[in-house]
Amino acid sequence: MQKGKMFTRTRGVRRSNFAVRTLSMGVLMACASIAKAGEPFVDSSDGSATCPSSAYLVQMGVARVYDVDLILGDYSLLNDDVFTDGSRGKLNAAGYSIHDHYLYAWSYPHQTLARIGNDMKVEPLTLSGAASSSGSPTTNYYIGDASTADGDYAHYVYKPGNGNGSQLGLWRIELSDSAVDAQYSMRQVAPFLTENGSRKDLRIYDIAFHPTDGYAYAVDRYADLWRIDPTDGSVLKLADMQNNVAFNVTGVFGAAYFDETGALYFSRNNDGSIFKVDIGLSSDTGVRTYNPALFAVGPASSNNDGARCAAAAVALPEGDPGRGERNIDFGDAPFQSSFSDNGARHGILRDANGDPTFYLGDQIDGELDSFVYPLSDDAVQSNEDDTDGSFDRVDDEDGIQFATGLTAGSADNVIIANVVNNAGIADAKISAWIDFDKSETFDLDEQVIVNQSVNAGPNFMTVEIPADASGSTWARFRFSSSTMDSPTAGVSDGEVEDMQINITEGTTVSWYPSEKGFTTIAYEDNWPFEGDFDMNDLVAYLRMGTYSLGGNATSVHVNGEIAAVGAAYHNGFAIRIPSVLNSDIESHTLTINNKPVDAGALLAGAADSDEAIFTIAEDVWDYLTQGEEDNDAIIQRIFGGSDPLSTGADVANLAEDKVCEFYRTQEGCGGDIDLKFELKIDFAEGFAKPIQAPFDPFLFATPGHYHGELFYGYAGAADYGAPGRDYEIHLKNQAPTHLFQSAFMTSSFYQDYAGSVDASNPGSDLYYLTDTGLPWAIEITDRWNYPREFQDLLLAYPKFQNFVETNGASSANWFSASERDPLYIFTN
Amino acid sequence: MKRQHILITACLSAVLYGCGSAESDSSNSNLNIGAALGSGTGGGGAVTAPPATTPTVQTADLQASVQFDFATSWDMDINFSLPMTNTYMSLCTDYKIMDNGAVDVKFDSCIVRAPITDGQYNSLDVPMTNAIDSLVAVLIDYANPSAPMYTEFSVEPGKETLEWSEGVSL
Repeated sequence: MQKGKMFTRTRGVRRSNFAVRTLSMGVLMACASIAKAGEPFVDSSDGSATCPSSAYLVQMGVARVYDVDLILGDYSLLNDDVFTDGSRGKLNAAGYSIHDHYLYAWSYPHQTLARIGNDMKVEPLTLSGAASSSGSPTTNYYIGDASTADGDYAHYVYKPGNGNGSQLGLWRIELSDSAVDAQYSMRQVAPFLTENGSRKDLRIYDIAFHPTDGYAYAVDRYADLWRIDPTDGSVLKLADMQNNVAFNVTGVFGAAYFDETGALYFSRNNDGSIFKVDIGLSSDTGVRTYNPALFAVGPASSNNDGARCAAAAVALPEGDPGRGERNIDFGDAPFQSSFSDNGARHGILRDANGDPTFYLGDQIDGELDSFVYPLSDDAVQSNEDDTDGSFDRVDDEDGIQFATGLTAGSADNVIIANVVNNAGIADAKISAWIDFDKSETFDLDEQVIVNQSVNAGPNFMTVEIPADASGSTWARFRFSSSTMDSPTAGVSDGEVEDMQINITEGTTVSWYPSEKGFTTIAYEDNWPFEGDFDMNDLVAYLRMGTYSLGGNATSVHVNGEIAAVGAAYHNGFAIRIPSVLNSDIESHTLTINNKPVDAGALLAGAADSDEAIFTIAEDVWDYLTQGEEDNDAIIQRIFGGSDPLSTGADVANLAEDKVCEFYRTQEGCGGDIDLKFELKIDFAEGFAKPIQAPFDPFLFATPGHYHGELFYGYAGAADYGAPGRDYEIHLKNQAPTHLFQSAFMTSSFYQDYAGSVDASNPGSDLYYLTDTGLPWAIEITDRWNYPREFQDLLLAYPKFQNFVETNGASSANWFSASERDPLYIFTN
Repeated sequence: MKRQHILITACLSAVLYGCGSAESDSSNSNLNIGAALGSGTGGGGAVTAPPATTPTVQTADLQASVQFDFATSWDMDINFSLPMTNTYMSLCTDYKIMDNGAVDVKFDSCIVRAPITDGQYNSLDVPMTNAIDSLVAVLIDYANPSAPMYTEFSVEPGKETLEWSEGVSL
């Protein structure tokens, strides 16, 4: 159960480097009737067993055992009826023995060590040697763990105080027969812990044995990190960790665990915070900084004790990153998002049907790890389209709405959080951070919403933006029942939504086609020859935002993605802002995949022209990966490494081979979009020219690359056959730039060249049209699903014919999803 | 233009094209096997299912007016005299009216967003896409931001102007 709520999580299978998956609650309950009581958690009889990854947490006055997912802090009840003899009371000082794969814990009602197998039932052990008149201990140890050291098959318990002659201090309980100690014999290691030979009573509540170095470690209530030598009870203070971090890391840490990398996890009782600090695998303590970080928020309890196999990894489950186990929602900002960065992550609560019950907006999707921007988790979906079987893109960053623009220096910025709470959770809340200083860190002092309670439905809230904030940055919103004072770490429920925002001075913004929508520009790239009209030689998605004050544009933002390249020609991509000159521009920046591009995108104006042209990429192939098979592999596979022609192979059948030649136009070829850019242009003061999206996006030939036999004889380029920047393709009837070689449209050599179908006539303002009026580039005002490689546009979108034949009067939405034939559409 | 990235010998280029260098970059022996084998103008690289299919009418068979620009958007003037001042106006395309009358607006679908201090919003040649058949204007009163005012407008491709008086209050 989740914190006593009547909802369960569909749990993913964790990384299984062990032979037998430990039992989660559902599995345990289903199998309890067939499991043999008292069996170890994994079968080590053949020597192949390795550890379960679960952490076990014992809580409550009447012991309950939980399975804790350290990644999320999520937990599920394994057993609330651990005693078989009617006893009631606590279990404490728990540890997992990597030697026999049992849990051991001190049983308060029995005042002895108990062994716990995979049925989660307590088996009290009969000890010998304890210092009491009866021969059995008469106190309750609340600190302990099982040793991980080779040859030290023992469980250690500790209770502070002067143990000289009493039962306090550090004790060792032999778990098997050894040369020194009989099985279950208990002997005192030290009457008290010592630091530099002097008694040291630590305010600790659990210890955890390191996976390899043989020491136990503990964090006291003051955040001091201690190393304990189990052979003599001496301790070494490694760090005052509170000095290393800005947030509060003090408290009662009732549960401690290690993982295989030597990371120590320690859980604070009062709020369930699970911190992580790297101890490392080396015993060299002189070079470490011991900076703890909040790792997850787990269950709070006044009484905790933890146990975990220290040799097991704390790792995300393995599987298909695109589909499969998706029960964790990660943020996707370009920082503080991935699991390796302890990124924000939320468990997805689901009902019995697997439907999510506690999230923001209309959608939530899970990932195996963050799809860090510029990657996107939008394609990671299982909601198969009923009509064409494709997997539609779903944007789950849809729960936070900016009802007003974000204005610097204003406290009236209105945000709406749309909450879905079918789980009936009473304490839902939202926290949010904005990276105002663009440091690529959500700093603690950049938290703009602090655990604000929210109800199901729309929740209006206001956010204050500092006066010195400006421009594009990232915001993170977290929704959970847990208290969220950190932009990182895991929580067991809710959702994280990261989004790019833009802070303005209170400007008017017009978006084309909308603030989050895209328009598509699709090219055939063999002008002046007729194309095959699959319209995918180059496909760009574009969004333009124009910012203005007093009716005059102050800046333009263009966001774009290169969605497809179904061509082998090397092409560049650029955007001209019609009617705007270089002298109108005060500054500009271009980022590709969230990284600034050093080279300025603005082309220098020619002597006779100063038009503003921005080169996005001189060769889009520089950023793209078309497939997984390289040419050598293809040749090897098809021709056995021989010259293709010398083999006599039927090269025509190449068309039947599954080879990724292009980028995202062939089935299975190309993953998520590899090239995303953002162009920002600030106009000079006093700029007052009208500008209008979609501006003039165009394709040009990459300099130095072959672009067809027509240009063999063209000496204007540095290389024969390579017209380079002299060659452009624009939308129909859009004039080329001043950099275009006008002779390509006016010289009879080119116009009369065999096969040319170009009917451009600059004198009549006719450009880039065939002799039947068809274009080489079209704009589709949507994020368009373009045809597969080599499939005619009319096959994919039959109503395009009616649209053309009526000059656009009919079938105005010929490009919509409902009008397409999915057989001929590219799907990734 | 599609071409296979299969490496073949430079002499082949001479055979196929009957002239000099074919590619001047590091992959200068790359040639268009598909095209050389007669895969068709602008094609030749298709290597995936389904096989190329020839429609009854192909795009290349179509005839278009020389002036027809294939645009799927048009420009519209917006002239709004709003019923309040000191407000923030958003004009959005994706919204739904709930059963209880509440309006759920996707603000990231907005085409215009503006702070309004004088109750007037006028803009010429606002590009509208063919997919838009209605709009909703949302007015956020800064003094009472949790009670937005919603007004719905119908549009159709080619509509030239939009006046506030055409709206229906939601």
